This record gives sequence, structure tokens and C-alpha cells, in this order.
Amino acid sequence: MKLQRLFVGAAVSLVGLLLVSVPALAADAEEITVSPATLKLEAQAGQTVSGDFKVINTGNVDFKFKVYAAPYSVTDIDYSPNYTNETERNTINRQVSFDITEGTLKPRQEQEIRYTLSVPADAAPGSHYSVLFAETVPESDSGMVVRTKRVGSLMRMTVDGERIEEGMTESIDIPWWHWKSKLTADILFSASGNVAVDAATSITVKSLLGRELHIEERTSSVFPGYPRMVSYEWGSKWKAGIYRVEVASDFAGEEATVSKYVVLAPAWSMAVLAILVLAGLMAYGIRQIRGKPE
Amino acid sequence: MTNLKQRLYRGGMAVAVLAVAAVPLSASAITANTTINASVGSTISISSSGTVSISLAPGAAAVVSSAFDTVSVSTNNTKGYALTLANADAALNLVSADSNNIAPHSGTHAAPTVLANNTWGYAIAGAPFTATYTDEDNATTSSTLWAGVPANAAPVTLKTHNSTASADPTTVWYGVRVDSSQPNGTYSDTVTYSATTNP
Repeated sequence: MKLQRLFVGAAVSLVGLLLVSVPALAADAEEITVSPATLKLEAQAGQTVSGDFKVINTGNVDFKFKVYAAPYSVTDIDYSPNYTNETERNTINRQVSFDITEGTLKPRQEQEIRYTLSVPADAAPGSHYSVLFAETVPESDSGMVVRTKRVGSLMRMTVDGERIEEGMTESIDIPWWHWKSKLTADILFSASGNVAVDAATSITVKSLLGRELHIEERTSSVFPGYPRMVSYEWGSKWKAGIYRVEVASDFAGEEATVSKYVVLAPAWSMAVLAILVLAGLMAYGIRQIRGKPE
Repeated sequence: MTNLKQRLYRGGMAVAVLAVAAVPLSASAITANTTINASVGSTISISSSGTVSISLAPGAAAVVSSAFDTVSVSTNNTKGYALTLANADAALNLVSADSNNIAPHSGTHAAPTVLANNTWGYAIAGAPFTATYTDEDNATTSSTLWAGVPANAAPVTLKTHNSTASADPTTVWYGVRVDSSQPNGTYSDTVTYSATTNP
């Protein structure tokens, strides 16, 4: 009896150990972290503002790092980032300085860094963008493809003055037929004026019987002069059927909602349907042949 | 007399019980509230696996070798993140100590192609790249698709994630194809992974 209890206890412990699997970094993983991930500042033209951010070693090995500011812009409607192109609203990085620009951190160590931004006296009112990067400095012998990693704190500076916030929901597109494994919905926004405009969007997917299957909400900033596509996807390769999709947006003071029934029919479901139709036709044909008199 | 004693006794007990019952069971209390605040700062992190080393031994035929790197990004920002890849500068070759070069492959992220001789590139499994990649070790026949690592001024977005992420992995393959006209040596170049939150 005692032996039985010992055996059961050991088995339960083993199952528990197997179930509790905490994702862990590899033994020699180098991980760099910055906090905060975004900085929202407001200042007047000609003013100097300061603040702090942290560089943290959240990995398992020491690393050297450096910090610097870079311009931030986007290159397409998917808002793919670019960190070198300069526009009229992303050169504030030139006015950023740091009290510490490099260092070495051991695992779990952090370095607080003070940044100072001198807003030019002729800075245009509205939104300006930059990114404060913390970048690892690789060791000299690091293989054929040497990789540096950098994480950025995205800085959005609003310069006081006339604030023009304008935008428009250009389109909400929900195709009624989806032959790939996921149904999609796209919303296109555009902004004019001189400040970024936030778009609040959501998608709700329901079954034919009205059961909510998926709800997702998002907030996305739209830069003046740079249209942005907000895209949703839902489903998996084994889902097929008719669903009701509702997409809602609240942007620049206007709300819009589009709701429609859609068919999700991935390739495998079409093949199954084709086989069933063919089998039905063959069965009908055979019945017709048998039913004909001699 | 006995009856009187009994009555007195009973009466006294009754009074005692009543007296005990009348004792208040509650006491006045003084309380104070303390507010607990916890501030969770927004963060973004990036990590990658060990070194990416590729060995090649060309013979009569050109050979392809490849290795992969796993880049993981974590962020508690609800807008998610974008992960990009670019060469650390405008020089796109793998360069040896003797200043010999392996040129960047001409394929692009949108239109990857099979590696040309004496070129190198990267790949992400899935369309438009090859569906899956495995380590190639001096393969004389290879049909995997590759793109050249772009210059620093034009990074390629490897992944966009639209919500919080915890060690979200992206596997990046690096491949090299050389023939025996490529001088021996240790070639290297530096690439940069960048992770920023989505605006």
C-alpha cells in the first residue's frame, strides 16, 4: 500500500513537471530590452524637454550596447518601418542627445539613460517622429553572418500650435468569398492635417446561428499623408462554412460599420464538395440506367 | 426555606444569564485603507540564437550550405511590433580577411530565386519563399529560394504582429552558394534586426 502511494506520488510529480513547461531562453541567448516602448511628448518650438528610458539585459549573457536616435517613417500602406529616410516630420532625431551612449550590461542589469530633445525654434506645429534605439555590439568572432539586434522606443513629439486633425475612412473591404484558409477584412484610412489620427477598429465573426466566434479590437495611428491599411485575418485551414462578419471603425470623429455574410471555402472543402457532387451525379446516372426498360 | 433558597438560586442564575447575554458582543474598531498601485511599463525585447556559421567545400560542382537563426520579439504594447532585417551598412558582400567578396543574391523578398554561384542571401519559410527549409550542407543540387539582404537604407519587414507578443519567434535562414572559383577564407558580414512597436 505504501509502495503504491509512493508510485502514484512519483507519477503525479512527473506529469506535473511535464505540464509545467516555462518557456526559457537558450543557454547563450542574448536579449536586449528597452522601456518604455513608446514615448509621447509635447513641447513648444524652441523648448528643451528631457526624459528617461531604460536599457535592460533580459538575456543570459553579457552584452555591450550603444544608444542613438534615428528618424522614423513608413514606406507603404502596411506601415513597414524605415529608420533612415528623412521627411519633413521625422528629423527631430538630430536634436536628441543622451547622457550615456554606450555600456555593458550583465544579465538582469539595467541602465537608465537620460535623453534631451531640443525642439528647433522653427519646428512646425503637429506630430514629429523619431526612434531611440538601443543596439547590441557583437563580439569580434561571431560567425559568417554577424547579427546585431536593436530595439527602439518610438517617440512621437507633438509641437504646440495650430492642431489640424483630419482623416477619412477610405474603404472597408470584406470579400464575400474566401478560398484561402482564412477570411480577411481590410480597412483603409487616410489622414491630412498635421497630427497623427488614431483609428479604433474591430472585427466580429459570428456563426450562422449568431454565436460569436471571434472578436478583435485594435487602435492604429495614421500619419498625415501616409494612408494606412488595417487588415484582419481569422480562421484556420480546417474551418469552412458561412459566417457573418462585422467590421467597425471609429476614425476622425466618424463611425462606420460594414456587416455581411461570407463563405470560407478553402481548397480541401471545394474538393470534398466536388467529390460529393460527382458521386451524386454518378448515383443518379446509375439509377437512370437501371430504370430504363429493355 | 428550601423553596426560598431554590427560588433565590434560580433567580440569581437567571440574572447572571441575562447579564452575560446583555454584554455587547461587538467592539468598536478603527480601520484604515491603503491603496496599492502597480505600474507596468511598456517594453520591447529582441533576442536571437547563437552564431550563424556556414561551411562550404566546393568541388567540381558549386555547393549550397545554409544555417538558420531564430529571432524572438516580446512586447507588452497592445499595438504589437514590426521586425525588420537589413545589412548593417551599404556594403552588401560577405568579405574575407583577404578582401575577397561573395556578392549579395539578386533575388528579392517579393520575388526570391535560386542562389546564383558565389552569392549569399536569406530566406523565410513560406510563400513566396520555399515552403520549408532544412540545413543544406554542401548540397550540389538545391532548389530553395533566396533573397539578398537589403542595404541599411531599405530594410525588409520580416514580420508584423498586431498584439502583445511573448518570445514570438521568426526563423531566418542564411544560405551561400560557391563554386571552386571562390577563394578560400573566412567571409563575414553584419546584418541588423530591428524591432519597434507599431504606431
